[in-house]
Amino acid sequence: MKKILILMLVFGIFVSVTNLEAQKSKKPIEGKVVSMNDLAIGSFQNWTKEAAEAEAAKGTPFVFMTGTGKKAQIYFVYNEDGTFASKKLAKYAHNTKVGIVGTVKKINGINILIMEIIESM
Amino acid sequence: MKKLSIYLTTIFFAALMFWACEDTTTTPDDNTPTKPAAPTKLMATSKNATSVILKWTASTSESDTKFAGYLLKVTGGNTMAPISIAKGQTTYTVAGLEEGIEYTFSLQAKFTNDELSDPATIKWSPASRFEKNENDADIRIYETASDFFGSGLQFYGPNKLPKTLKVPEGANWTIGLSTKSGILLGSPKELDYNYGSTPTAATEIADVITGINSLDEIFDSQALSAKTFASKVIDLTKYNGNIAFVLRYKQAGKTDWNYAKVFVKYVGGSFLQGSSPNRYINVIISHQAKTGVPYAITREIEKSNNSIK
Repeated sequence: MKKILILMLVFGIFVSVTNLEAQKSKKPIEGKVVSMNDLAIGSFQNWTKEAAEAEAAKGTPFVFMTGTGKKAQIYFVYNEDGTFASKKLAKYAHNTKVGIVGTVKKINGINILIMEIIESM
Repeated sequence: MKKLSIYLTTIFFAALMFWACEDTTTTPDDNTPTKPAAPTKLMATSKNATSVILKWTASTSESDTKFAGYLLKVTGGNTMAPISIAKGQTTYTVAGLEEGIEYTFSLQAKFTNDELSDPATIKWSPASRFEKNENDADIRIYETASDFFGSGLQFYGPNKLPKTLKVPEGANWTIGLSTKSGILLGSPKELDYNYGSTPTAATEIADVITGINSLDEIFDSQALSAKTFASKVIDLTKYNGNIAFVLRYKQAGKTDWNYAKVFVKYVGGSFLQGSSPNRYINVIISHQAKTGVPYAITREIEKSNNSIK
């Protein structure tokens, strides 16, 4: 009986920790849309909407970045239907600040953001 | 005597022929009118920046065997050839127009002998239809509790498209939403927000239209400038279906009005969509970019269940 209780306790803690991994926030994560190319060279250009859309159409992925320098976090953003939201993100690349409401998951050290709402801020 | 008799007989028959001919050419042989009755209740609405939709009540002469259709003449911009419209049609979309130009649409019924009715006329201008914002996303205005997303909307932002703005940018709001008490949508100056700077864009609202599914259903028959506008808010809790309203506003630095119609979607029994605290309303806007062009006016709504409040 004691073993069963211990097992249940361990299982409960495991479930709680797992849920922490997928954090659903009603507050938006604030940041900026950047291209992977800019990220690679470490120089971020000011996109126009048209230029960013054209770049995304050529296949350049766009991601979401919060913070700057060593505190920067990169999020790969997905639509709720599971599709990669790079082209949608590109439409927001001309905004200086963008907010995304959604669910964050960390998979193999990579931030995955399942987007519910995206707005320029 | 014989010659006189022949002479008189000739005159008699000549007179008879003349009288007979005159009779057939001057007296109508039936009650058919010589020209068709004009179409009535010609109305218009802007479909987009280059198109106007016209709607009318058919000519009563459509049942006449001589009825050939309608002839539409468009004047005011580049010269357009008259447009032939088939019998039985009561709507027509005129394309190839230019936003901001006031066109005169003149519609006449036509007989097969080319006789035309008196014209029914209306002045109108195409206007942009905004269904998406500057990010190609639905146009949303967020509830007051959403600290991070805007409760205001600028109709004609820096990119000439709608832009959702937060309270500190209230100076640029065209309309705002407050959900502190009820669901109030309307003139920013009438909403209970502590703006960083006073809203400069004066916004005034006219009729609220109900019982509609689209802006395309709202036809007007005279210029919007004739309406009564006031700075006010609309309490959306009083409605249980899509609504639209006409408004005018002044852009910063402009002395004349811009006119617009706003369609507010009612989905799943509510105007507010999404989940708290980021619920939002979704709007579609018909916007006249050129100031001082009143492209819409009093309403004669097509659907019988439509009403104006």
